[in-house]
Amino acid sequence: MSARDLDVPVQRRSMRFILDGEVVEIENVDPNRTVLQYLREDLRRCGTKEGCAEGDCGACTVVVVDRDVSGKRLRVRAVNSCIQFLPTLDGKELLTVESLSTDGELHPTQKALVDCHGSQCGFCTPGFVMSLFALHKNNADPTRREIDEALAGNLCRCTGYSPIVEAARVMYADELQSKCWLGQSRSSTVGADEQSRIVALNSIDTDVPLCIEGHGRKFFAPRELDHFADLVALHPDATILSGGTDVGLWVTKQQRDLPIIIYTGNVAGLNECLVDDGYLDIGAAVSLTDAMPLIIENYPTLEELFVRFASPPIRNAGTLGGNIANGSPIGDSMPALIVLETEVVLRTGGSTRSVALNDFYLAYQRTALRPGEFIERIRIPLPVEGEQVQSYKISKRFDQDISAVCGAYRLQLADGKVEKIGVAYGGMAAIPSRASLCEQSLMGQEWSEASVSRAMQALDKDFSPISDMRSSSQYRRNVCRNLLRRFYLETSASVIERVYSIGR
Amino acid sequence: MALDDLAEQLFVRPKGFALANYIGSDFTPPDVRGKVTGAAKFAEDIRVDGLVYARMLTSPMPHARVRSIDLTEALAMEGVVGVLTAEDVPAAAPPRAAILTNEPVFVGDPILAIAAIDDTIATNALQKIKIDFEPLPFCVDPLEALGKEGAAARTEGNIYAPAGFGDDSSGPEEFRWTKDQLDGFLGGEPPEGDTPVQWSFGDIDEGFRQASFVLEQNFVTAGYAHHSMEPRSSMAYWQNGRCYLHGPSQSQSAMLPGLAGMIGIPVADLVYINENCGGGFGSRSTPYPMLVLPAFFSRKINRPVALHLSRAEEFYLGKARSGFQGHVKMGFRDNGRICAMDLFLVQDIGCQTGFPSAASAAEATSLVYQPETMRFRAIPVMTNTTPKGAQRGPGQNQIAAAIEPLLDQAAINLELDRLQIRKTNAPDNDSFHGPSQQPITSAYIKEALDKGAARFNWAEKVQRSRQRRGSKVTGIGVGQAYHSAGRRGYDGLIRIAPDGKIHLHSGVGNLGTYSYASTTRPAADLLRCDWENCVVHYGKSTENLPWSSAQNGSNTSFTHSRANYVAALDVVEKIKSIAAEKLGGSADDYGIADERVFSKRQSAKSLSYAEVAQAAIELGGRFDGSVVPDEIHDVTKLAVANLRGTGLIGVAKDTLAMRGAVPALAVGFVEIELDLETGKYDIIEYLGVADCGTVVHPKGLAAQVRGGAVWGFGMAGLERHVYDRQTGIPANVGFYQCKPATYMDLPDTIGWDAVDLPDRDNPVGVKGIGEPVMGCAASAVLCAISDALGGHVFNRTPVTPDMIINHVAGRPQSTDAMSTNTF
Repeated sequence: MSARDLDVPVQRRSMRFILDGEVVEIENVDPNRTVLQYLREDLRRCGTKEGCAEGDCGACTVVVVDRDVSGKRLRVRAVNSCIQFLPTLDGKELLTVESLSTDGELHPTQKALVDCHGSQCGFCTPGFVMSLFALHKNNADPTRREIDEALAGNLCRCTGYSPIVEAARVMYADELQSKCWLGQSRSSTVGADEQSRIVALNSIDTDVPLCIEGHGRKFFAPRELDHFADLVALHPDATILSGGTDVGLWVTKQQRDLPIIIYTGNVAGLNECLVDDGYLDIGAAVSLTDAMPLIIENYPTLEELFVRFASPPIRNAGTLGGNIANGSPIGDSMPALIVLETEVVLRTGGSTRSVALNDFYLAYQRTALRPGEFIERIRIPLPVEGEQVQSYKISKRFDQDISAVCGAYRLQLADGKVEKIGVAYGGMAAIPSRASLCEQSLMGQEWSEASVSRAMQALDKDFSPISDMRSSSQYRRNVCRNLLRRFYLETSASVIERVYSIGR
Repeated sequence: MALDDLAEQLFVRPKGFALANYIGSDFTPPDVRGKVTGAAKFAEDIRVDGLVYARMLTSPMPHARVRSIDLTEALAMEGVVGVLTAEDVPAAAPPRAAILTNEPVFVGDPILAIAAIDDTIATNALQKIKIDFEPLPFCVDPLEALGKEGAAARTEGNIYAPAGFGDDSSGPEEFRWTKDQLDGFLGGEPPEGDTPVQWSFGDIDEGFRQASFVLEQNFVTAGYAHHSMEPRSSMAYWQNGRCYLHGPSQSQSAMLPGLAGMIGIPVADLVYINENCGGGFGSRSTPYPMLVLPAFFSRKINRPVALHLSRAEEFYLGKARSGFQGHVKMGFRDNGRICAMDLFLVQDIGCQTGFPSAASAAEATSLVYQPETMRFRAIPVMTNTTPKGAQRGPGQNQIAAAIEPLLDQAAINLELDRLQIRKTNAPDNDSFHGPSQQPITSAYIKEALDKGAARFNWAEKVQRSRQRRGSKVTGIGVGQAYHSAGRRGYDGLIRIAPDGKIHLHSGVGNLGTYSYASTTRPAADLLRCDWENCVVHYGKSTENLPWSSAQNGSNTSFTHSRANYVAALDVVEKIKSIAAEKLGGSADDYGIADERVFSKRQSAKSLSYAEVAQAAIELGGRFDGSVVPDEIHDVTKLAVANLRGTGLIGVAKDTLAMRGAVPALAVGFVEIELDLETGKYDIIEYLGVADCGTVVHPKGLAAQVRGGAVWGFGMAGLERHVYDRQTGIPANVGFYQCKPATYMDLPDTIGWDAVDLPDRDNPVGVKGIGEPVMGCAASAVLCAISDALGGHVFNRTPVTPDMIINHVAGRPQSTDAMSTNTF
């Protein structure tokens, strides 16, 4: 360890978390070890299953509990343990399927699954139990749509899902009479059990940053933004870890060795979400689940896009900053953020610079980030009165799928003419990008069938998409044009049905 | 024994006996609690002292020969304890699956395995192996392999066409079409080349001459993986010469002879533990090589060895559905009756023996549509793709997806109602099927169509066909499918212990349908005992389980309700005989109720089952299992030998009459809304109706109908193999790439219903159902897509948004008409 690593006077060498009411303290953790490996191999706690080891199926779902930003309530999140690195549990409580039944009594979630015949081969069941448990804890009276969303990260090949949905309803009827937080859904007041868990979490909370060394690898979890920036500058080749929903796969699927990991999750300055100076200002480490409500509140038409973004456990862990930093050509958030003229605040050491998201992507999986630089914040301009914004994701499956095409549109009209237009696509090129020729053809024109038709032709010149297993190039060309037309029809008040509608 | 004789036996039971106690009622399977608490142990959850972890080195090439392997560095790693290579395991005669091989024939074919003290070390050790391959020619499209110039998947030949199911003597052969023959078929012409497989009945030429409308189409159905949720694992160790093997399989007792044979030990020396199987769907119903790999490895290094497959390896080795490249020609009379059916299938059997899916497809065609004359021809072609096997309705469901939309086309041309044309051709109890036109036990598909049409409001819904709302258009579809669903000749075993407990020994596997338990309930019914006082034994050979059918082919409900029934009859007879022995009179003087045997004349003269069990032990002989019927299977004899002297033993082989194939039939009704601008569609409503005989376990049936529908939706629009033609590498191995339908792809509710008419050859009237409930959903969706598009038939599964958009735009499709394994 270099002297700079030790600039912070004290660093913890062991991680602590709560499991079954006990504080677990571990030293020399391998930073590349996943929570699932720890549970199954080290603890031989095998209820949690490995279905895919890439966050696709939900069989490994566990619940991670920590305090919300107020520090006064618990935040209960279902996550995929197969791609969650063990040291990220530091300071949190872990609940697995084994945690729920007490003294032989089934949790309402478990009982409901039994009663509704919601478990057949049973391999996916522990994951469903935990997703339902998270729903039960977070929502006292879910709508059908909220149930849908809560279950969207879990695959089942046997039941046809219907009995599991039924269990999601029945479990509320089966709530235990006791005041046990585990057995009851979240209420507006803090019950005794929730309070005791907050106290327990407080007891392992500390401002002292974590620095783990194990198996020849290092894991830094700084608390302060300056310390984080110093570490990144000092270790420009380190892996910056946020939710791990992509980085986790580097280890589990690509068998890559990540010798130095710097974790954003505990950095207070990266975990804030606020409205500031005409911008939605979202810290790079804010999870998609936490960022979504703020974005949707301001841009309600983007709700469907975010609901279809991967799956709930992925959104609970994954961050908007990570999605942007990875620079995938088909990342779902980018086209919308580009047309909203989002800026990313990049930081190196003590200095920051702001880059338009549209200029952030240079080439296939290459970004404007320099060595030692990281994304600190994402700044999305607040909506302007009268503008219309929309984004459409076209993929084979409704959720848990990668777009063939993802289009985003932003329109400001003045006297029926286009005063401002943003058109951007993912899946059409090596990077998510604006359709400049299309935009140019529309600027100043009537917002009419004729001008949109011309703009649709211009899209052909903007993009030369490839064929791959998600779709053919011809399909992409066709649908990218049709989506623009769809936006026109929806904004010209003449129609119509949405491409896909949620909450069916 | 005929059912008429059975009825007589039923008649002599005490007055007031109601057969319906446990038939048609839900129950909580004994193992479900463990599944929701995490206590249920799957094979990968088992840990024993000294366990080491194996990982496999698999082929990165679709066809190659291993020139050399250098293990020096890997074996020198700390924690590595051994290696298993092809030289350590029995060789397999091509095209049979080898445990390990030096001539891999698909990407993912296992070459060797390394064991280490933990999984990470074993994985890392694989990276240290130096291996040199000689690449060999390969093919991923059967039609390419059929041509003169095409590469053969195996060095020994390009096709594998055994004389029949279970024929172990044949091997790969060379079988080619001429360039003209192949080009003609690729160009949409009827197939003209020879075929190694064919059968026919009736005069098909005459049939076509009598037809007033003839429909002829080429079609392609995609192969794809099962994606059981559990990537398979197995663990083995040896103790006192016995092999203890943990692994997932759909079946239990049926696995024993095959597994013991693969390991090379007597059945008595194998302990097979398979309490939970995380999904199978046809891929794990019979012994497979990876299951026994740890047994060989453990014997070699003298330590317990566990092998856990990754999701990608499960894709490589977990088998897959066969794709078809086919041609069908159908002749219809004016009233829609099919007077001639000519079916030709090129079946992609992968690189091993495959599964006779083409033959199953032909059998299904002959049954569901009852053609007056029929010819079937097929070519099972090998490709260097993942090995193919049985997958939920293997053949039957693909052919439903191919033919049902064509039935709609015929209906349009003949100006007939789409339901009516199905009913006109539907089988009934007097129907026959297959090449030799064998009888069937029952068929109520007309009743299923009627019931479904009424509940779905078919007449009203079809009025909405093709209606536009903005860019969306409505499509309404109905589909049908079939699978045989029953066997005979298996054993039942029941023991009443001196404490009065009734032990129901089930050799049926626990694949998640709970049929291991539900098929014992007819026995509990017949024994007039409290289900809560019954103990179901399953999942471990040490539980003394009788010989059972493999849990495949939708057969378990029919087959093992019979086997348990005859065992229960044996118990009843013995109970009465013991009562006569102890209390006087003859067995006929006694009846049973409430777990007691009593005199019909003096009800106070009675014995409890506990007392009867004690008496059975005292009497010995046939009563306590000391003497068993000759005809029961050796596996059952082993089980009874262990139980001998512990209570009253009822054991029997099912020799009840069975007139022919047992048809499981299902129909699906669907409404979709298709977006002409994106090619996407929403499934708005679905209803599945089953002809599964008497409903035994309603919640279990509901799950089959609904779960099958989700599989059907995947077949219709989402799932398919994609192989890179240049490299032979599969492009979609994980869940998100292969795209099994998620919860969000489904309609709000998936309705289900059943005809609930008893099968004639099952004592409680039940038939299986697991497979056709998928095919009817797939075909219904495909028919609805055609309906929405004005009758256009794509002749492909899956139908993708790409294809729909191309059709709407009037452009040629992105892939060649007959190519397969492409995106």
